[in-house]
Amino acid sequence: MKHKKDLERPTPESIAHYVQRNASKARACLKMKMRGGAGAETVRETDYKGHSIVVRTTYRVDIDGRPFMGAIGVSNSGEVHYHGVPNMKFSSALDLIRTVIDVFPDDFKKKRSGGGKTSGRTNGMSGMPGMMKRRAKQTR
Amino acid sequence: MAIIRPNILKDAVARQKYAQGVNLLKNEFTTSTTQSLGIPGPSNPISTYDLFVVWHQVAMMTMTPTSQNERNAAHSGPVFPAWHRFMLRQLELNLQRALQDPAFGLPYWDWAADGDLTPSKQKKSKIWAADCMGNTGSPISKGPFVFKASNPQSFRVRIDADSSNQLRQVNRGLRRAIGAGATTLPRRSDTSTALKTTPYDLPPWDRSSGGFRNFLEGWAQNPVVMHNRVHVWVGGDMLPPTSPNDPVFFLNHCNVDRIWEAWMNKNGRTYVPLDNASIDLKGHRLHDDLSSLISPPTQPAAVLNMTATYTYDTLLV
Ligand SMILES: [Cu+2]
Repeated sequence: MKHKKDLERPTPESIAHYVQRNASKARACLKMKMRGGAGAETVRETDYKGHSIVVRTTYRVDIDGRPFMGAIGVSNSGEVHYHGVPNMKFSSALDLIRTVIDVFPDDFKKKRSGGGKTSGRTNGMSGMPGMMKRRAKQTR
Repeated sequence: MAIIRPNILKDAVARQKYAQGVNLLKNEFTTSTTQSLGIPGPSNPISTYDLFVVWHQVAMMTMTPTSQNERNAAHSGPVFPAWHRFMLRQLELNLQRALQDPAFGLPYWDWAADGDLTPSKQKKSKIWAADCMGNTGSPISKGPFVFKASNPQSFRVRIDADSSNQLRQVNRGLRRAIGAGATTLPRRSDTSTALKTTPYDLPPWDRSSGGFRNFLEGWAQNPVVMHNRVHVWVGGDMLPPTSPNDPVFFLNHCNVDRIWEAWMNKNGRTYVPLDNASIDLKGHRLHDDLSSLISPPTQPAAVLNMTATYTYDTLLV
């Protein structure tokens, strides 16, 4: 069976064939700015003692005065997450954005350190060598 | 006859062949182009290796279902171990072709063995030696995956994601920040907890689930554990959704696959959800197609028992 054989022994030609076949679907997925990008809404619903609860959350984040375009979501247990750093979860959106700045050094060029304290970090990349120190204006 | 997947620290030949094979696939260009996949910039052919980077990103951006942005076609749901098993097997087959060695088995990194060392010794593990994966740094400066601008054959990152999670074309060295995002790797006590955690998966089939899959993936605790912790501990290019850019990605996932195999060996080759589960779980049920890009799709049911194709040198995790 040809189908099975292709799966068994890929070649550059078979790979290009399947990429072509899947390209339009792949393009559509890659373009998706995570359900609306910045300002995407997370809707959490539950019932409690016969009452139905709906919690809608959106994050609007500016970095250096420019809107951050990634879609930040929040889980049922209240942890904040972002697809750009898919292996982590955060107790605070501030921690998440600090990590984004660390992980994407090409997008956030090094600035002079504010030398402030970075209290309240529960997670993430504090003290990563060669990465910028954050100006730490602490609000949670 | 089944091939055997070895521990990379115990097999010098596998070590050398893996690095050689990765560099061969990095320089094997298909007729697929950046333009055909909608990656901005000039249209360039994409190498076989870099198509794995794109495939991972595509799977991660395929939300299952589209009404939420947590569970996707490869992560944060029941399909996590099965989809990565499919991906690993595709890489293994391509490495076998590139190396002209049909008996080549993908090596694994037994990270829990390193995790039982002190934090400073973890960073000095032999896996980060010049004859294995190379060192930490931004970019790395030792080992088989060092970028040399003057040598077009040298390893380089060609496709990564920007901070708003869009793919882009780059030409730079590989980055790692070992031990910066997490001070320790997972430990043997974590892997033995994993083997004892049953059932395979549970509602609501996401990052809040009990069961083995969510523990193995690493969402069961905060900060993250197991597979996720390894990504965070290595850092650099292991953090964005383009993490297959670091060849250590596949060594991590090969160990994840080995732990899954050990779990099935102990607890049975069971998988849930079954085909009659909600349509919201489409992509995660036993006979649903797994997200594919470079080959025909397969299904979780088809990868549950691979023992006729490959086994591990040991299932002691
Ligand atoms: Cu993955």
